[in-house]
Amino acid sequence: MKKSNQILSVQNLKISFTQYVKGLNTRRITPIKSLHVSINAGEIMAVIGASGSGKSLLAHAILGILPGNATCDGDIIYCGEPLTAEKKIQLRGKEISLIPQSVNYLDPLMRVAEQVKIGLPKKDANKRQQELFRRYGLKEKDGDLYPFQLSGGMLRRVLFATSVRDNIKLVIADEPTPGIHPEALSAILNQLRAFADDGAAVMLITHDIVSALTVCDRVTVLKDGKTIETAKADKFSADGKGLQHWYSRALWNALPQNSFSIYEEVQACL
Amino acid sequence: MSLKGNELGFYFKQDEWLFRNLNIELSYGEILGISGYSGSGKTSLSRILANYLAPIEGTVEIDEKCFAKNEAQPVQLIFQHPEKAVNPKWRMKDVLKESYEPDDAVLDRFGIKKEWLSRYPIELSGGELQRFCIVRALHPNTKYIIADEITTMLDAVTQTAIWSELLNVCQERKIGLAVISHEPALLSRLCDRIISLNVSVKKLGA
Ligand SMILES: Nc1ncnc2c1ncn2[C@@H]1O[C@H](COP(=O)(O)OP(=O)(O)OP(=O)(O)O)[C@@H](O)[C@H]1O
Ligand SMILES: Nc1ncnc2c1ncn2[C@@H]1O[C@H](COP(=O)(O)OP(=O)(O)OP(=O)(O)O)[C@@H](O)[C@H]1O
Ligand SMILES: [Mg+2]
Ligand SMILES: [Mg+2]
Repeated sequence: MKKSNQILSVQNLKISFTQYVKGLNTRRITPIKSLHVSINAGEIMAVIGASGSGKSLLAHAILGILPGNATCDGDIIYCGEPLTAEKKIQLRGKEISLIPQSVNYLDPLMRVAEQVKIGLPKKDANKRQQELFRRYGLKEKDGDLYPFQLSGGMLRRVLFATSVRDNIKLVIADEPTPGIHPEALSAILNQLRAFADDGAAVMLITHDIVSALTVCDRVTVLKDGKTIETAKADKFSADGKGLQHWYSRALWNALPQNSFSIYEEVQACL
Repeated sequence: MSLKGNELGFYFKQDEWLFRNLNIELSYGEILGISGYSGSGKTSLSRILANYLAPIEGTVEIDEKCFAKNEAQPVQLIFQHPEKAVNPKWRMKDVLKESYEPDDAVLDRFGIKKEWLSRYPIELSGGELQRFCIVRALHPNTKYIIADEITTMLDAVTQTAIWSELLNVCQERKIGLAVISHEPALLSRLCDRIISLNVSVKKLGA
């Protein structure tokens, strides 16, 4: 049955921030208005959308790492039960794994090999870490470096390696691939596919639609803090006529591989 | 008139050359693509061309002169990770002000909303933050821009819009633009000419 198969379901998610303006006056803004997304076991859901549409905030809400001035409304259901604040803390890094968008999440004062070992089973942490480095095209000696000594693409690959753990049921990958060369890119996409094939649910937040389509099952499109469409991956093909929302078609057609064009209607709202 | 690297060589660890005998020239108003695998030294080369890093060998010349001190930086670098390129403790308007005070028209062109100016970097999305970094680089004295993977964090629609604006500005002001990217499709859309760092490294081994 579909329901029992569902690992994550986010319904009517709304996120507001309280901001101080001039002294003690406060103002509330609500960049996330109503997001819906649900992912089944064994499935990769790509989440795409405009920059600023709320993809990272969605990820942070699921993980429970929104800043202190944020309030969050709506339902987040994990394996059939509400994902409470306590559960988020308990499951984070164990059953639920995040690959963050910002490279600032790495510890600047710890050698990167050590960071990859965190959370790996103690007895073969070394071996596992070296194996992960090889898989993503990092050299053994790169492990002795600190984050500031790594190139941009190397940082991404290290961030990704920190997420590969046993017994993961939900993976949230927030832009895991920008600036990565083709070989490492396919190693990462294959790993996401392997997570899903092992029964996990994977949320792949990305702007790289073309790469995402090689592994994902469905695609959710966000715009201005709302979910505007969820479509099967195969709808993103040719000129995108199978897509319901004009903005989904616009995103597809703006790709450099396609026409690199912006519809006039999009231009009007930029 | 051009930004020129002559016989550049660089390493971080003694004798582990990232590149050597590298010659590169970016002319006024030209759009040059630079590709190369991850870790091949693209960012290091950018930092050298923008005078953030001294080469081990070779020289960099701007319009036939070496870098002058105390002058507004004519070569601007836009970084790969915007979250590392801004001071986290400053509000966005101060981040811009440190470079110059862009007028509303420029902010508008790059889709920066007024309300973002009073926020801190962490309160913006990755792509929103990068737009500030792009505008910050368009100082009135800027003659060359090195764009190091600057749109990987943007959706396709915003990416197209930002590139078309940046290309327009560069054309209007005859700014030379170097575009670093892993995406062949993007480079071939944007650039007059494309060079690969992998090739120069291979030459080294031969
Ligand atoms: N702490 C905050 N305070 C106020 N607004 C915020 C805060 N964090 C994010 N926002 C706003 O919420 C919106 C969604 O941000 P989010 O980071 O989720 O975007 P995104 O879809 O991940 O974009 P990108 O693709 O550029 O990374 C943005 O417009 C952003 O300015
Ligand atoms: N501060 C540093 N100290 C030591 N080594 C460094 C330092 N910065 C970079 N390196 C090393 O130099 C090499 C080249 O890095 P660089 O950032 O120039 O590559 P890149 O071509 O920009 O790669 P990417 O496409 O991944 O961003 C890498 O192996 C990196 O580990
Ligand atoms: Mg984001
Ligand atoms: Mg780089």
